[in-house]
Amino acid sequence: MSEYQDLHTRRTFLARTSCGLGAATLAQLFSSSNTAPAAGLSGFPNFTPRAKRVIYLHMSGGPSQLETFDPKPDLAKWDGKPLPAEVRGDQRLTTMTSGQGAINVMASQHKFARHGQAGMDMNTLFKHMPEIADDICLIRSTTTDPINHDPAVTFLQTGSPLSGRPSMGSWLSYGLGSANENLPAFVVLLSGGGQPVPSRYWHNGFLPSTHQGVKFQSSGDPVLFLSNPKGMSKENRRKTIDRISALNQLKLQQSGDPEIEARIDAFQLAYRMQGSVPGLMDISREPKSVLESYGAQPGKASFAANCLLARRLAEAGVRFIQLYDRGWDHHDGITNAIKGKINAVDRPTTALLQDLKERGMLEDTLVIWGGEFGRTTYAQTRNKNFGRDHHPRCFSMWMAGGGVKPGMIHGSTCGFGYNVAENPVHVHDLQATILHLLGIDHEALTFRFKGRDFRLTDVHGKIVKEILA
Amino acid sequence: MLPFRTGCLLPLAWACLLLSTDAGASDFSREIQPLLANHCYACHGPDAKTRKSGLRFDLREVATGELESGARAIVPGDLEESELVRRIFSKNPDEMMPPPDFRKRLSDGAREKLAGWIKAGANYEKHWAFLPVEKPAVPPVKDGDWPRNPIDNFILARLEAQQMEPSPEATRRNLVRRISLDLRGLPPSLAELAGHSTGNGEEQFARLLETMIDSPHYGERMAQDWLDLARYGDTNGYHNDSVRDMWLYRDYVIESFNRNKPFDRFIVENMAGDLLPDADDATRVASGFNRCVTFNEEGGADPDEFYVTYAVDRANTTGQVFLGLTVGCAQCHDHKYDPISQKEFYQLYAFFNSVDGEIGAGGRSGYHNKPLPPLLKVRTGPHQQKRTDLQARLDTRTAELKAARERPQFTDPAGDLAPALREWVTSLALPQTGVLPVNNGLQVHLDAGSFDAPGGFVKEWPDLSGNNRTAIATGQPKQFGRALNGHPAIRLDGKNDFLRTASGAGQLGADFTMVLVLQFNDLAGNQMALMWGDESQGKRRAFWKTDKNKFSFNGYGADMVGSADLKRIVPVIAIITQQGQNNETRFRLNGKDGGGGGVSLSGFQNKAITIGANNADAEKTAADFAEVLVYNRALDATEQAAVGFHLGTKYGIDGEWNPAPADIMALAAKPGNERSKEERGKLFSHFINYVHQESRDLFRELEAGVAETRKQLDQVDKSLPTTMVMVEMEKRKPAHVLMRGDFRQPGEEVQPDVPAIFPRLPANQPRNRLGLAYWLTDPRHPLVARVMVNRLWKQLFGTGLVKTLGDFGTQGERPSHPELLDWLAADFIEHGWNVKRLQRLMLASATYRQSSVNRQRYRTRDPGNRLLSRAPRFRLSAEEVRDGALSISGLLNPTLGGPSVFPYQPANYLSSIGKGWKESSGAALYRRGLYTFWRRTMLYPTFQIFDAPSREFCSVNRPRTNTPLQALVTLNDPSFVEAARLFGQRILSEGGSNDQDRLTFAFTLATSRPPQQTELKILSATLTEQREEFRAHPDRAGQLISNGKSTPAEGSDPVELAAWTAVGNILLNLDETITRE
Repeated sequence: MSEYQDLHTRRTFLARTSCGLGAATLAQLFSSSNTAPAAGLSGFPNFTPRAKRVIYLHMSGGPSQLETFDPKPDLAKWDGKPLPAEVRGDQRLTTMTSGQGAINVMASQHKFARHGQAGMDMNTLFKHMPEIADDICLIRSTTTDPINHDPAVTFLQTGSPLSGRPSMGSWLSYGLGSANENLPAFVVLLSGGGQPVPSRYWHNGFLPSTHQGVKFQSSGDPVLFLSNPKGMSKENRRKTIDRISALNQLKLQQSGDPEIEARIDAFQLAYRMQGSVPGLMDISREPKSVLESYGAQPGKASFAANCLLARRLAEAGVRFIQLYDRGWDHHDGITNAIKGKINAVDRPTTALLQDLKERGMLEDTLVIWGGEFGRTTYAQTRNKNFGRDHHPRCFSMWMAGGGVKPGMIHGSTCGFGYNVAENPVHVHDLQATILHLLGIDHEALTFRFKGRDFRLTDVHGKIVKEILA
Repeated sequence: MLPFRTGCLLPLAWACLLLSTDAGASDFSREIQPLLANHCYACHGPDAKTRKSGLRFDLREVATGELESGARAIVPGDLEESELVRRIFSKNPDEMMPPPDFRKRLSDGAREKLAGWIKAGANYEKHWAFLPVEKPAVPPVKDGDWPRNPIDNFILARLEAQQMEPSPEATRRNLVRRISLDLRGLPPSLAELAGHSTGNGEEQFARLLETMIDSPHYGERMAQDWLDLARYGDTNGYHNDSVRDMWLYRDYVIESFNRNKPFDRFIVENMAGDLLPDADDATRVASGFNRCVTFNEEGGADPDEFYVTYAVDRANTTGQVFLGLTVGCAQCHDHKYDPISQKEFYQLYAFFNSVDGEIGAGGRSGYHNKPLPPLLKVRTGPHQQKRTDLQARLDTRTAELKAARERPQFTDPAGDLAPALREWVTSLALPQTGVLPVNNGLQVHLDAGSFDAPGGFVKEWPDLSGNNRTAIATGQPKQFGRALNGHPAIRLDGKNDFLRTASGAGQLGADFTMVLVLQFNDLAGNQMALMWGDESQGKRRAFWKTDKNKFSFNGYGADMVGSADLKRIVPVIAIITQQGQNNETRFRLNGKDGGGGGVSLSGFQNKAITIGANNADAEKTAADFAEVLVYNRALDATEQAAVGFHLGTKYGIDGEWNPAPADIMALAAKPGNERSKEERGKLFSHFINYVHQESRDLFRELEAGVAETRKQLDQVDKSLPTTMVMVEMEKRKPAHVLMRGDFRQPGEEVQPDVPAIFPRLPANQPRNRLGLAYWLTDPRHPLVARVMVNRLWKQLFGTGLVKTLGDFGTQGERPSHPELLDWLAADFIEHGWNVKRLQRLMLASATYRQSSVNRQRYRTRDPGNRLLSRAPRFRLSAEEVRDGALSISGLLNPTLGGPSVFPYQPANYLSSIGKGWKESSGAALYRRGLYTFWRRTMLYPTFQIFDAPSREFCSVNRPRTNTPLQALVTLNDPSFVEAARLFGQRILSEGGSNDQDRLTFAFTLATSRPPQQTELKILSATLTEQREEFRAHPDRAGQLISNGKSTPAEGSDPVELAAWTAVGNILLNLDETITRE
């Protein structure tokens, strides 16, 4: 995609290493102390980072702020009545509700309780998350532009609602390099069913494709084509790769093309990944107590298993671990549906934060929880089984660890939970802040493409200083 | 910030510095313009909105004129009076330029350059790419022997200026492989290699060129790059990512290159094939170029927003593909660097926003998985063939029918059939006998008048069919002597009463007929008059009055409703026929067709027949039943009419059940001698068509054949592939400047036009896409030919002369050989945009024919090989890596064109977007890569790993990475493993009789050259090693050779085949195998 890089000078996330092949253990391969970090851009990070890595828990579909972290008890008075025109203002509706006539307020059917020093409201369905209320920084005033899933997730990840720009993890891989040369800097894990999650969300855009996110599959080979074909034993694969290398070595001498050297390395490292990635992805080796705390079952794909994997990947030095949990798009039956989703993420999310904390990793790991937008105060279907439509104007997210102030609430929404009342945090501000926590000046991390210097925050973005620890 | 002012003396320090400046040496467009663009244009450039102090440096008259403040930024030749000079050297944060918070600082060298340029007179020149193309003179060179054509003079002149030498010519074998890969994307066959490698002569070289450039695979190779530009994909690219039919466009591109269509014509067809005066299916398919845009089908998406998005994409793509400009930068504001205003962007956009019938977004408007209009149905070759075949069959069958109808005995009423005709007519005229006319197949016959129930209470209803199927009563059905039009009937109370025959009564299979004479006494709710089977046996509601007083026949998962209405206490004769398992069920009420459908009846032989209510279902029938008949076959229309007529006469029920239509009955009633000739003919015609069995059956059979063929022909026409095309609205949709690019903020209305920097649109052409197309292909256009020849150059030389293939603007890289670029562009236009001719010229050059060995002495001097002192060496594209493996192994299916295919892909790969992958079978698994189904939101993983673009939008250049994920593909992807085994098989069957020959054969197939001794030694050791491995583990041998869908050749020794498979796997993974050098 980019026209500006030399054709043959790029290196993979797994660049050359000394090849003590065959016997390397998981710890040897993946402890970040074993291999020197792959260089990012010179001059980056721009200043001392507070976070070394990110675990981003994306709730795909758009969780309702009114059913999670932003209760509006006064809405009971408005229940079933039209949303006042001045609240809605010139807000566009999606074509799903623009034709339904009445735009009536629906109060949340759930109870809330306050937790922690900041008095953080949470739906009482959260049974575990209250334990980490003092670790997280809740932002109730997040706001975005697009009103539909595909553009909204693309916007959140890449800074533009249209496809073609690099996603956040790719920017980090490009700017900061890899903390472990034996693993991709940017890994993606998926759980749940619902809205499509296309590869665009972890695409490198115009950055070199080595910065593309690598989706680890939850069934089959975790990394595509990792397994040898049947009949090809591990030992024999070792031999065949050695023969390939020997022949490539001869060609290197004859042609003088340095790219061959890179290919020899790539094959050696492919072999090493074959030996070690399955182990890394095998959570059955975790103690029973850990598995139980997350609610994860070995061999069963789930958000819980992904949270545990995220911690393992973080330990192994992956810089950006992106989880997508699908199924938060509650256009109808939100009262019940939200219960199922909260149950699925409550325990694993809490366990992840506590686990990181116990291991001393929370202070330099930034954990982010949230969707691509919120949901409307008014009902999409006007009956007992009501749902809520997409709402970009305000929604709740939280961040924890990695230099974020713990146990605080930032920003607020109006009494209808429809507009930001104070301290809006636009998606570009969020992106600027995430980069800042990683030691990056968001205006400085640019890439020249088609004659222009592009960056994650486009031409916007303010750091949310209030939430910095 | 202080305003510009005059009169400051230059600080001494840098004034001294300036004295040393080599004034005037700077080339404006190479050195000065980029400095101004990078460091000044953001506030003093083409964008009016961000411009400060009215100053702009892109126009000399403004930069050198008097500003609002009275100062002059540039006073040519006068450093002291030039405010720019003062500001760029100022240390005062309030004055310095660029200001302190601007990120891009000027280096000392840059400051000196700017000052030197002003001192020398501040000459501006137009950006090179906007100047007309003029064919430069071919430069002289010292080594006059080296050049083979003018290209070489340009290259060698630069090399000589740098005291560098070109590389020696590559070996002929190497050139055969290189040309084969460059022009066809496939390695040469062994025969081609042998045939073209003998001798180094020019004649042989020319023959080699012609063979390769005339290959049908040439079009495929050329299409691959074009499809990246055209953002061709097989899906919509957003959200649900539904499938679209677009492959006809892909095939059009392949064919255009294969026919060497003049490139200007190709551009016109792509841009406006629908608007051409001589438009045909092919050019309309070509207009699909502008329909390859993605489509958002998300539920809530706003159609207005995306309608705009697609037109914007077209304007951007036009800029990228044809102009090599980033016009899209002007979507939200004036272009920061190039002379394209926001208004001009929307003037370009205005060519593309009037697509007739185009939908902005799906979702709510139901456009999931639907073809997106405007569409074109196209009669392709295979369809045409099928159609021709079917038409011939139709003609034959029609002729057969005609011949049958014209047989003498079927045309002459006085001929052979005269006695039979007479007999029939007589039978029609006779009064009915009162005897049931059809008895064949009768299984059950219950007649309420055939017995006297003691005291009127019915215990059993005797069967008259002779099959002993008496119906036994439950509840208290009663017999009434005059219940139904004065005739006896059995009354069921609608609460508890029903009658049931013994099991086995039906003997019914796929075909049956049921006849009921009854009247409903109450019409409330659903009532089941006749049931087949009972609750314990499973059941079908054979005749069921719905709560809407319609008929129904229903059962598990099958339901069919007839349309005639029922009334209270009005007797009816109902006939239900079923023909064929799961086939045609029909109702007739009083002879009138009441509709029908298909109901599955499997497993219902030998079940009981129940008349009336059924306790379990509470669908009791309150009705009087006079007669019930069940046949184990479907009575034909005549038989039904006869039975109906009989019953209607008997019970006084009117209906349309005459054995013949009323007019025929009337004729039959006439005395024979009173009938006219026409009337006799009419009777005869009815007789042979509907009554006489031989003629009737023959005609029906032949008619069915005709109808069936006609249906197939219809299906072929219906299954014609469609493709998305452009269709222009009759009245153009108004276009507006969209403020900040936002579709909700329309500004000034604009007309279609091109940016002012370029020549004007042709006056004699319409102001639409066609006019735009002719403008693009005007020989005077400064960019189009340059951009195109640059792409063709890149294909053969690895890098464009302008490295930034999609940016010829001021921010793009300047050409490495500007004169050569212009010479090629001029030559291309002069010779009618002849692509193959231009490629022949490039291929025949000494420059192209150099060896690719990277000589030590130039590695640091020109690491990127921009001066072309050698041929480039680079990895093949994603598709070619796969094509190569298939070709080497002999697996490749070389079919050209057609719908896209689905090779092996890891299971669940598409689960994150909720899609499956309908894997192809047989030879379709082994098609060339460019036919692989291009799913835009989750690209075929092997291609994604090898850097192929998703094609959600125009992609001008693919990167070439080198990663372990790629190693895993070539080692383990089932397509490659299967290819390795086929390769092994091929080595064993074709590679000679001993190991050495076979290894040489195999290595040559993969790399197009024989192995050297050292390589052969490694290969021999490998073979030995692999034989040992599989001899020791025969189970592994069996497994290895069973990968993939194809099966190993019969009689092959598993151990030997596995060993060679492993060798094949190694060879397919060599750097050289997947590299063009």
